Amino acid sequence: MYPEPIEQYFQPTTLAAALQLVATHGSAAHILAGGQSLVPALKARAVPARALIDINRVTELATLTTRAGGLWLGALLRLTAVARDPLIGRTASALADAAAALGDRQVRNRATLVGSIVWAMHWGDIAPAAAALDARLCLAGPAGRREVGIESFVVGPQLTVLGAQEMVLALLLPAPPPHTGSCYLKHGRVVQDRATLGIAVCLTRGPEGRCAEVRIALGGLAQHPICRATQIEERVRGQIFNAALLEDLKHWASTTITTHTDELASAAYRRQLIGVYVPRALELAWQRSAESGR
Amino acid sequence: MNRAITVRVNGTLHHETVDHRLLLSDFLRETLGLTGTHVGCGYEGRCGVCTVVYEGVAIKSCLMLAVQADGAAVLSVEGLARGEELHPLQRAMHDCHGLQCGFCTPGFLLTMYEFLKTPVSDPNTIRAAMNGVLCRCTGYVHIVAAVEQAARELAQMDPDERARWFPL
Amino acid sequence: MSTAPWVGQSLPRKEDRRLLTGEGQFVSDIVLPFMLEAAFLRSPHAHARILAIDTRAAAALPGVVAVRTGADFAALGPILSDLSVPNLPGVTQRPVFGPMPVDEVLYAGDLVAVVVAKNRYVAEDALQLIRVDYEPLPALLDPELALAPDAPRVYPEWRDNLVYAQEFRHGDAAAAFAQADVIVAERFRGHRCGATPMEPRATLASYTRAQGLTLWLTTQRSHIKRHLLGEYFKMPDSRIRVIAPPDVGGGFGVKAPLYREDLVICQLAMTLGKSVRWIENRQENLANIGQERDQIHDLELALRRDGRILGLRDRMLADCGDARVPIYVSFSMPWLGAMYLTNGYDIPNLEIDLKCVVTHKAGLTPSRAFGSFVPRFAIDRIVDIAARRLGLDPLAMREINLIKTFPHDTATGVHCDSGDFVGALAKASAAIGYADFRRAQTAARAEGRYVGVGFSLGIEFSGLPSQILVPMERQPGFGVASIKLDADGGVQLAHGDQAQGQGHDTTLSQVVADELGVTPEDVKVTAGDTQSSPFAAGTLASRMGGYTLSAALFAARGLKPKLAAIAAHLLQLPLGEVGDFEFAGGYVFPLGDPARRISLARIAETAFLAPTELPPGMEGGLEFTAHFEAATSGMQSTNVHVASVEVFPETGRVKILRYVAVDDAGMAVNPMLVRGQIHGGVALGISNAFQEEFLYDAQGRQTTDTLQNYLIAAAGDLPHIEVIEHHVPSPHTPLGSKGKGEGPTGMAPGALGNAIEDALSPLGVTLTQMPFTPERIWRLVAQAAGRGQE
Repeated sequence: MYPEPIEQYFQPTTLAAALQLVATHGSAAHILAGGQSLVPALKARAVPARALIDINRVTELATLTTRAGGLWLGALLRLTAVARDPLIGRTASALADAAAALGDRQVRNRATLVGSIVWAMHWGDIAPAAAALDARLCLAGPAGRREVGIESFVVGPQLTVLGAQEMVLALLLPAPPPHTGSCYLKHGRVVQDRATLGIAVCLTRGPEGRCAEVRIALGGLAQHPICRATQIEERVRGQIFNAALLEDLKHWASTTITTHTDELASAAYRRQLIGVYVPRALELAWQRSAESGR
Repeated sequence: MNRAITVRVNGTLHHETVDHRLLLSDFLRETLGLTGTHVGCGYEGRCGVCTVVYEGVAIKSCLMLAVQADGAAVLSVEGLARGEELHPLQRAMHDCHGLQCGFCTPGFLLTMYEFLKTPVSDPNTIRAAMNGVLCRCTGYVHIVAAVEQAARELAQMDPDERARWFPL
Repeated sequence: MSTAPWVGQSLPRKEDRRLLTGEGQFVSDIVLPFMLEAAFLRSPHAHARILAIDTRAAAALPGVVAVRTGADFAALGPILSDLSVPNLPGVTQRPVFGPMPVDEVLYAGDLVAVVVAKNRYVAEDALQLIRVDYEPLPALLDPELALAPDAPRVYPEWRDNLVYAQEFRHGDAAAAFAQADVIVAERFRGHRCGATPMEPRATLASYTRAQGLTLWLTTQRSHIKRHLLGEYFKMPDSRIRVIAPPDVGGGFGVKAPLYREDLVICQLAMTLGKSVRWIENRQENLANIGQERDQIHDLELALRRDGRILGLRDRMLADCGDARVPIYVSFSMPWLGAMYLTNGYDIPNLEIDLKCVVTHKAGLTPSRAFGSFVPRFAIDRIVDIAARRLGLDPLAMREINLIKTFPHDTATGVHCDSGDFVGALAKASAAIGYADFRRAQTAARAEGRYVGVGFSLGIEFSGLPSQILVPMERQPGFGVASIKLDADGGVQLAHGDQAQGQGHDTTLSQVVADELGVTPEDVKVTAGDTQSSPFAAGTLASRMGGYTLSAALFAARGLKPKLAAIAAHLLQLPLGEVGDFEFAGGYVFPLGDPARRISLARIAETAFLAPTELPPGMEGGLEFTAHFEAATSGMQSTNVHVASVEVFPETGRVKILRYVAVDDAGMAVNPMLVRGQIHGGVALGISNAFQEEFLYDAQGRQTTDTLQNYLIAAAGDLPHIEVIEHHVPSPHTPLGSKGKGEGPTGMAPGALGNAIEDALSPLGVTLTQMPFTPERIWRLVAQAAGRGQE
């Protein structure tokens, strides 16, 4: 339960220095941020020790600012801060919910918003929530900066397009349209657990009590950390949002999603959970869209 | 593969040279001889008995490398009491029988120390705040009671006295 | 000058301060000069031949002092002590094994090699460099397959895979079943889980030619380990000292066996001439110890129409793993579980057919509830199921069948000296508001909500007498305590049953303080060090409250005549009986005449420093040792638990609304500590019943290797636990006190299983398996619904 020898350890204090180190060492180094996933992996000797670039002193990465009406969430923001921030709570509740649902108090005090996305475990909480919110990531590398939509960033379980010489600088959230609400619900076996199933919903109310726009992203499914439930979205988009719609989804929603069996749950139970949680998540997002008022 | 670090622990500055891979938990226990912080699991970092306060927040010391703490301040269980005077939370744990074998106790003390900076008196919220430390002896009932007692006592103090009990 | 008695007060503990300030002393906190660190290489295979082990690269790594394999320990021979195997009435086949396998491993996690290095970091580097050539072999993992006549044998030299088998017979079960109006038969499965303390094992061995072997150990039983080590290493006991330090982080039975790793570490210290330490990590811990329960019961009740149970038959199958667990051999627990199967129910005719098989899994280690977790679940559940079949209320069913008069001997031969189920059940029913609950249940059902209530009854052993412990473990059942005064009048109490958090120090101090008229702070309590504590079996079976406590009381009382005689002499009073003197406030004085007092300090000073001033003919010194063996073959406490739940069928989630334990501690010396034992015991039971399970894959590899997949309950997973006292003093202990600790755990699955099934009764669900995971509950509901549609 101890890491292999760690040859080099760097503790840059500026973004420029950090980027330089990442460019130099590339895949021969790990970026150490919150460490709540990396340190266990090092201790288990599941990943080679290599060199560590500890970016926790790069304060530039911990900023939270508005940008074009949306939010720039620095990569180093801790989940505790994300869960509590009033602006995030008002305009991107799904992300606040996901941050609050991950791990325990101590883990959230260190774990970063972006760490979970970069590890891209299929049971991760942050990526589906970010996807429902149509988030983008800002990456930086030797070739400069680029922005990538989250669903283009996470391409499969434990697979992202992050280059060996790149770092994530921030999660970007667009300005939500008026009357938008979002949420993230998580089903675990016990209070502190991986997601057996996670459901993130972001929807926008339209006139006449209709759902004008909706994005639904599921987590906890083996095939991908972010499973967009596009068929369910089509079924809901433009419809009058009422009990009959939700009741219909209860029986039908799970038929549109492939589920798997693992040590957490069976495929059948996951289908059952989809039927339970999709309506609940939609309902909660709808309520919040009323409260958002904008 | 060593590095010279300076860490303030319980108010005292320590200058040590440590291996890169030395965990913060082992730095406290083996390098500094502060064995009050315990280690109860393996690579997974789930049990929480190693919890200390790092720069004001509760963290699991087995999930941090000692080198990361260079220039930082840490509060461990040995730093809670002020001389002979126990911290209100320590006293409440004693009054309420919130510990049995004591192995997890430092983890609870440091986690709930942080909680008590902005306490919420709802038992469910208290339990949720405790989820990161596991106990096998008490069933948590008396620990919840202890946190409630400590919160009441701290709320009745004047702000300066209260601040003395939260040095980090 | 008299003060309120200490006994009966909820005194905060003397143990707390050091634990709250980080000054506890656990084994892993002890540092010896030039101490080396050991790490074990363990088998990834459930069953394999070891063809070759190449340790050269590991041994050459800088910082590594030694690498050893099974071949290096083979000359020590197998563990053959009589102490290391139970001597129970059934048929035993005994695994013969040494400290480390040489050419065959029998479970995933089995020992293969050990590295000794300057620290654990380097030791783990070396482990990675050891090359082992395994030939994987088929693994026997199913206990029912293990019973088949043509099953491959885990121990080829055995007749079969039965490590233990016994038939229990009493009365005429055949007649009972022939006469029955209704027979209820169900299969109950208890899964593999256990007590897993927060502190894993730790061993620190030091050897010098002058001192011999000193071993700091996270053990519940120092003297027994010392004796076993002496036998094994062919050393006199006097050359071995075993020390369980003042602080051990939870035991719950798991730290009671002798372990092979202990032998390895001792041998390393003796051959390397350096202190060697091994601190277990959680991965090793989960793979090797704390696995228990794991039983199948094919249980039948013969019933009369009015609800009376006429007889019981049980085919009980325990999966004991490899059973290489010295002292217990993994079958003591199922045996005791079978003995306690009828539990709080008066069932005179029975046949229990107990079979304990070996498989290629970790051997079962004792875990709080000790073999009775699954039997209690089974009996409490089948009583409810029977009630339902007969159309009777489960509460009424219990009122008909519970043990009504004491003393009572169960059909398996367990003697219940005292208790009151009638009163406890009435209290439990009143506490949960039974009649109101049923009304609320009806209303909830009309709203489509599923709430339910369930009871469990339990007899909990208050220690075990020698007549059971000697055959079961070749250990004494007596409690023993030695009291000594210091020259300044301070009191020292040494006893044989060290604590792992139960608060023995405080509790015993309260008892001694009352006897000698001092304060608990004046009493210095030591245990756990074989050099300074009297020989006893150690902490197990809820001994302390009955046996150890009584021994401490009698030791204090035993000293009083001499103290009184010295007092009388110094006060120049005629020497009467002890009863003529009072002991209070640190003084001794004639009854009713506190002005003529003499301090314990003065008496002690006289006895030690000025023996010429003692009464003529009296020897110096002030000490007394008492052994306590109750004049009975069994002391029990009687307890009733009741729980209410709400079940959400669409997810299978269960919310525990209330959990109430009506508890008998005989006489609570420290009620707050007793409550703590009940909370902890119930919490373990709930966690075991709902969310913990040790899992092996199809190849026998253990998949539960972290606390993120072996799910110990966190605070948010558990309900508040209410405790109501219903004490029935034992007639066999001086204070009437009883032990407490093992019992509460085994009562949780029955009460909660009953509540869940009661909640779901409109849906026709029968709950006979654990753990009660949401998915399991959901499936039962879905299956019942599917049947309903046919």
